[in-house]
Amino acid sequence: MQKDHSSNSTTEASIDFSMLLASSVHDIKNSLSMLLTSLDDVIDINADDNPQQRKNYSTLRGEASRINNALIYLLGLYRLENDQLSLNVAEVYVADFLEEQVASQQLLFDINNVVVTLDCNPDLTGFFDEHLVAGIVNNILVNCAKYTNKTIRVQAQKSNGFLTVNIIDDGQGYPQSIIDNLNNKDRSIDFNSGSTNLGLFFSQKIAAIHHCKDKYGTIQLSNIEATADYASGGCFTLQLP
Amino acid sequence: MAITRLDVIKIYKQKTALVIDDYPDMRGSIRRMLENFGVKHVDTAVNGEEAIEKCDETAYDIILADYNLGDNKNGQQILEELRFKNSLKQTSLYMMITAETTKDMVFGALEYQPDDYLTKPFTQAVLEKRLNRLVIEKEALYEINSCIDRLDFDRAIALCQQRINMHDKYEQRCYRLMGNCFFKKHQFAQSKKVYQGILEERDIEWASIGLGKSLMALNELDEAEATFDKLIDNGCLCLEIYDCMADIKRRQGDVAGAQKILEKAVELSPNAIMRQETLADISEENHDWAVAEKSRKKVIRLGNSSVYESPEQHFQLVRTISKEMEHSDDPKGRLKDANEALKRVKRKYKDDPTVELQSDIIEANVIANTGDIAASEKKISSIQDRLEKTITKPAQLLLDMAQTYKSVGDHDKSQTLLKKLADTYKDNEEVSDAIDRISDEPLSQKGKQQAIDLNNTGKELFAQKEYSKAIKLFSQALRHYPNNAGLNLNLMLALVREMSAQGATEEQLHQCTAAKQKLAHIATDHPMYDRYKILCDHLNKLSLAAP
Repeated sequence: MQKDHSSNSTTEASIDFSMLLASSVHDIKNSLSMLLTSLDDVIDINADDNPQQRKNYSTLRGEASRINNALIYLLGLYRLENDQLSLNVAEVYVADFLEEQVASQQLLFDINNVVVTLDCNPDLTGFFDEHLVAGIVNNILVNCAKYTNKTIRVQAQKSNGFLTVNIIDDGQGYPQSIIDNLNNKDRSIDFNSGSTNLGLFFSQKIAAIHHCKDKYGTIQLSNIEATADYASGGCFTLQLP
Repeated sequence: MAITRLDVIKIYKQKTALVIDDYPDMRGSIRRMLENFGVKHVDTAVNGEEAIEKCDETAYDIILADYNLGDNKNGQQILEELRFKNSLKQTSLYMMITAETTKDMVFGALEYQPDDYLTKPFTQAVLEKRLNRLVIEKEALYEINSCIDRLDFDRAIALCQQRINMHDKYEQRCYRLMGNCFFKKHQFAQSKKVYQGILEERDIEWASIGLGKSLMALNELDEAEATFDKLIDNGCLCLEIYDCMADIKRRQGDVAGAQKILEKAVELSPNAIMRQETLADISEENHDWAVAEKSRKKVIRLGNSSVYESPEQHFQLVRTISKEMEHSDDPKGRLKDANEALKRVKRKYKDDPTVELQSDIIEANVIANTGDIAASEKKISSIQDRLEKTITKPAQLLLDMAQTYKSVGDHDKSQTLLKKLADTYKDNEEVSDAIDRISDEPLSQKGKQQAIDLNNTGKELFAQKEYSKAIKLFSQALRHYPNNAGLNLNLMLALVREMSAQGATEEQLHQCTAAKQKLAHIATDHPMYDRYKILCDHLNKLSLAAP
């Protein structure tokens, strides 16, 4: 919501544009919804008899998810820019929330033969904007499905007044350039490098606007060494107050 | 005691559901998903009207509603109507399906919030997970919610405490229900305590709203104001907080502030008819005729062919225009608008003789306010006969008659009528307030008491020579009782004293003259007459001396 209600011509124009944007998104999302549902139906039917076709369908599905994520970023960043993005912080059952995010990408995991494990106390609750944080987690899950080797581990726990969610894969790990870029406060989006990392940029913004008293949310990327139980890989960490 | 997949299917097998979506493919698709989960019976509705009709017939356990239903009522408005009419049980669940972030959706009150929002696009797996979560929660808290449905708040509170002691994931949900139960039982100190406990940990919207309302009920207005201020700053879209804030401002005597807040709420949600009415009343108190008239017109438009529609809304518009005429330099300019509005209501309710009679009474008042007393008196004589013959006379009709008598200068008839009304409606606060607004002296019990209190406070201020404070006190009171003779006289006195001590400003002279005009009709044998005369002389001298 805009805090400044003084109406001059520019704010009125931007409200109109915002409405236009919102109703376009509504239409596109209706279509995406039907697309995803139909795809799920088709994929279920052909699950066993034609693996190649199933793979094609799943690519379609992965791309549809990406379109949806991009839409969320687009609208979210527009709002952020115009001071219209405000948080809808509510208590969320973390285990249920994470299970839902995994379920939404289950087909993608199945096709890539990725096993996802969830390690979270069922009574754990957190306080955040479910819709926006779902965008963060989804983005990472879709990314991990592509780059991991065999497994993705999703862990959540509470410590020091923060809810920490780790999403750990056993792939090649994150390139140092991306890790460095994330830690560089003055960076901007590089539109020439091919990958804009728009998702990470958005995630960082969303995490940072979550706050409680004087604590603020963050995201981090790291690479972890192999242990006796787990292979090495990349680790995405989201911390929310 | 983990609930297994099989348990969930068993729960679904006993549930009925309603899917509300204007898009046929979506409707079918969601319906199939619900049937796959095992839901016993699934109905669908295309729009709000159909949905509300179906909910009146069947008490659904699960309702899934799309927020955006085209030009029709949206999913939030359906929910508010269902809750308002009590056709949605606390044990049922209402899930809103939306295309984007929930933050854009204004909601009328805390209890009008859906149980959950689900964002498009979603797959069957996601809907299943989400719905399971809610169905299991409703099952876990079934006893508590069912007590609330039966208005057995004591038992609900005890059950909440039991559940809280288990420290599971429903702990906060139970605090929320508990605070609400205390509030509904009017145990505001307890509800305040529940909300404060939550807020110590972190700022949560529902707890802040609950705290603000509890503070208000406890008459801790400044604390309540600070709480709501912070919510508004944070962009809270629960419109109830604006209504609360306006009420606080009004109770603090800041009527202009109250109007400002309501205007903001109306901007956020223009279609709430009752808030528009409140805004119109408050703007009238502020003599902001433009806003009052605009709101009155909006009320008529919104009420059109709805359950809220009534001739009274049209009359209100004319009364507003009529009051504007009283304060206008060119009262005739508004005559056309007033007459058109009266014509409309007569046409609309052409078979209702009471509406016609009341229209004529109000019309006579409008004519009197243009200054044409003779024409108005002629109109009145044609009315009196019909009024005698009318058997049931609503209070508002007689109030209008009293106002009309007063406007043509027939103060005796006006006061007689009002005194009779005050007697008949002595237990009706709304009518009593309306009587005192027209009357020269307070006639209701409450009005009389207030006048006594005001006079005492005023006397103290006079004794302390705090004239500007006295001026403020009486001006504020006059907004409620504009014709009160005692108040007008006291205001004159305070102004004369202040001007004699500090020198007169144009505004003060203007204000004093206005009060004098209000008293112009008092008879020479009126107990206040002598004082009035003396003050008039003082005012004359001050006017002559003014630069």
